[in-house]
Parts: sequence; structure tokens; C-alpha cells
Amino acid sequence: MTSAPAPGNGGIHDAQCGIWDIPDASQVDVILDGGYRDEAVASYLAHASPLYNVLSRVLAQLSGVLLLAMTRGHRDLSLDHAIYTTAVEQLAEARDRLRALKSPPAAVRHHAALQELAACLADAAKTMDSLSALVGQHARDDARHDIIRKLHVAQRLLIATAEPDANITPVDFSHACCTCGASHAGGAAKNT
Amino acid sequence: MADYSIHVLEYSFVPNYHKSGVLYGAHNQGYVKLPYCYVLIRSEDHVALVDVGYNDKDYGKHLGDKFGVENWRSPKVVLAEFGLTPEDVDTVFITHAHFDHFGNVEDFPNATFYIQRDEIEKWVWAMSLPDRLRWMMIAVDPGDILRGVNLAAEGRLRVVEGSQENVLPGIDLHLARDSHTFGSMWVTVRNDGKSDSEDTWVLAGDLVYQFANLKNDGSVVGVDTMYTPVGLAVGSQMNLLLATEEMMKQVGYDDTRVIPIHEEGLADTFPCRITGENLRISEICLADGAKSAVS
Repeated sequence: MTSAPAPGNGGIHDAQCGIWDIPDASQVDVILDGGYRDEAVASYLAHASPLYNVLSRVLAQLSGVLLLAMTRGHRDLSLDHAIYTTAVEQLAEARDRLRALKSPPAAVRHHAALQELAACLADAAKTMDSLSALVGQHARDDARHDIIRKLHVAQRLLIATAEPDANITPVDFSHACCTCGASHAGGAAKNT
Repeated sequence: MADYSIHVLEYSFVPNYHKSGVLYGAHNQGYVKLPYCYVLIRSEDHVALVDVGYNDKDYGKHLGDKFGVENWRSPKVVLAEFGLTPEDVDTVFITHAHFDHFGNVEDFPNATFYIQRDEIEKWVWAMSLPDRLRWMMIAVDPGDILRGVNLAAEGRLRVVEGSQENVLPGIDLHLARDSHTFGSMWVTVRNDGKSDSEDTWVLAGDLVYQFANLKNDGSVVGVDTMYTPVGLAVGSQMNLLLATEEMMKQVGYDDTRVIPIHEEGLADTFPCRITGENLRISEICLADGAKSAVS
């Protein structure tokens, strides 16, 4: 799949948009054609994994910064700029590395979806940065709604691009009560 | 006089969980069953839960299947044993942000959620750290934080800072900072409604996994029993022990009144039954006039 054109309004296609032809969450394993035995795919995934992790964490950071801003005061949407700035810097670096990443034909769709995920996060971050400067409750509510929508699109793409057997997963379940018995079930080795 | 009925509701379990995860230092001592539960607190006026389990619909199911979580049942199925639906739940106390406690907020469309600000703030901070510090970020699903945003946008998230009394009548929230997680919380039910209650229950979240954390063999240091922390602390074992002491103090050092939710042995202390879905209901106490759900 080649990267889909952006919709006419300059926004980002929803994760459910047919243009992406990305499987739903119950079919995440089929986003890659073939399997990890393909050397080129395995190499691609090894390089994509740390970038995926960054995107996952940036999603959490942006969501968290927004959540904290929304719960701080009834009209105060100012951001924690230290964490926000870190997230934006990490995202910018990840986007650069994603653009430079070479993907074999079997992973083109996966690669495109990761780039779309990164673009979606960047768009959300940009809108977040403008929040405190907006005048009027209506404008702030609209912007907040837009950010949340973009973060949800990013979340859907994060799930769609997960490849747990290649250590590409949004959650590290390898410890403690939340491991779901990973070490005993034989799944932990690929996630530690 | 008891205002609330309290039940521990199993919604899933891991059949073989390493014991050292449950009890600090219990290395090479094999595996134990680890039930996954939430707690129902019910009065004439309120239906509240402590934690909500995890979401089995999307990625949760994928991971649950992969890692061996068995017999997951939805809140709709679990609560039906009480003639309740998830829509009936008006209040949820989130003890911490791990996925098996905070991962299913979407199933409770009418509930107001309470969580500690420290829990959110420090997870977000931890997410910004380099990979070499990634251990601090375990078991938190970015999607859960995003669902928290949804709650905030809908005006259904209350961020608590430290202790807060009478969140519901007779129910208090307490912060255990830098313990199991950055901002773990326990819930205290003063079931007679008195400030100096003689009928107090503590719902410990993951500050205590099992009764052994309250009453472990202390022979190694020459005492009969001693507190022993759970196997995981993002903060410190010291803070876990100090929180345990505070919880125990609240219940007059009656160790059957600090309720651990990963404890298969609740059945040895409280009336219980196994449902048709092969999940346990443990009856911690009944409100005045309430009928038993297990007999």
C-alpha cells in the first residue's frame, strides 16, 4: 500500500477509513504479508520496533498531558510544557527515522500506517500547543475535541500495527501481577 | 448498623503465576493461582466498584490469549449475578493504572471515576524517560490513559490529591505514594458511618496481593509473623510496608479486614460461591437488610 493522500481538508484519514485498508484489531497479525521468517521483513521489524515504542509512549504522554490539563481547573488548559516538549522532540526524531526506514514490499502497508500514526500524533501535538492561546470556551472545546479525535485515530493505528511476536506491542506485560503469567505461558521471552 | 454490602468479584484468573511476584523474596517457590477481581460496594443509594478489570474487546483479548489469562468474563456477566448491569454503577475507585485494574472504563458509561493525581502525573513523566528506564513504564496501556481523557472530557473523572474523606458517605480514599505504583490508592469503608468507626474495611488494591503480605512467616527475623511486601514496587518496599501499617491501623490490626483481591484464599475467610461461569464471589460483609449473594 502506498501512503494515502490526505483528505481534502488537510486532516488525517480516520483509522477506520477504507482508504487504509488496515485490518481491525482482531486481525492485527495480517497487516504484514508473509511472516517473520522473511529476512527482509524481520530486519524491517527490528528497526521499526523502537520507533513503534516511541510512538506508543508519545501517545501516552500527549494523552496524559491533556488529561492533566483538563483536570487541573475548569477552564485552565495550559500544558505541562516540560513533558509536552519532550514528547514533541521524541516524536520529531521518530518521524525522521521512520521516513528513512526502508521497508520491503511485504511491509509497505505497515510502514505507511506507522508514518500515518506519527503524522496523526504530530497533528494532535500541534493543536494542543495552540490550546492556551485560544479565546473563548467554544473554540477551546472544539480544539479539545479535535485533539481527542486525533489521539483516538492514533490509538487505532497503534493497535493495527502491533506485532507482539516481534516485540512490537503497546504494553509491556512482562512483569508482576499484570504479566498475565507471561513467563509461565512462554510469551515473556519475546517481550523482555 | 452496616451501610454497605461488599463483595469481591472474580472476572478472570491466571492459573500459574510465579509466587515471587506475589510475595517479595519468595524465589523458587513455584506458582500460585492469581484471581483477577474487582470489588462491588453497594448501598441503598450507590453502586460502586473498586477497579474495573481490563478490556477484552480489542488488544486486551489478543494479549490475554497470548499470555494465559483464562475465563475472562465481562462486567455485564459478572454483575448479572447481583441483578446489576454496568450501567447501574455510579462510582468507580481506580486503585492504580495497571491494565487489569483500569483497562475497562468504557463498560461503565454512567460512572464517575476517582484516581490519584500522582498516579497519572508520574506515569506520564515516566513515559518521557529514555528506554533504559523503561522498567518504570510497565503494564500501563497508552490506550487506558486516552480513555481517561475521554472520562475527563465527559466530566466523569475526579483526580484526587492525597487522602479524601467521605467521597461517598463513609468511604475514604488514601494515597500510598511511590509504593506498588507511583500513586496507588486504597479505599476505606467505615461501614457504620462513624468517623471513629468500629466496622472498617480496607480494600487494598495491589498494595496487598494476598493475606501472606499481611501475615508472613517472620522466623527469619525471630518473630512469629511480619508484613512482607508484594513482589513489585515501582516505588519502594518500605513505602509498601508503611502503607500496610496504615491500613492495618485503620482496621484495628484485624488482618481479615484488609481485603486483597488477588487472593484465592478469600474462600477460607469469607462465605463464597462459584458462579455458573466458574468464577468466585466472596462476600465480605452485608448491609443491614441485604440478602446474601452466596448462600
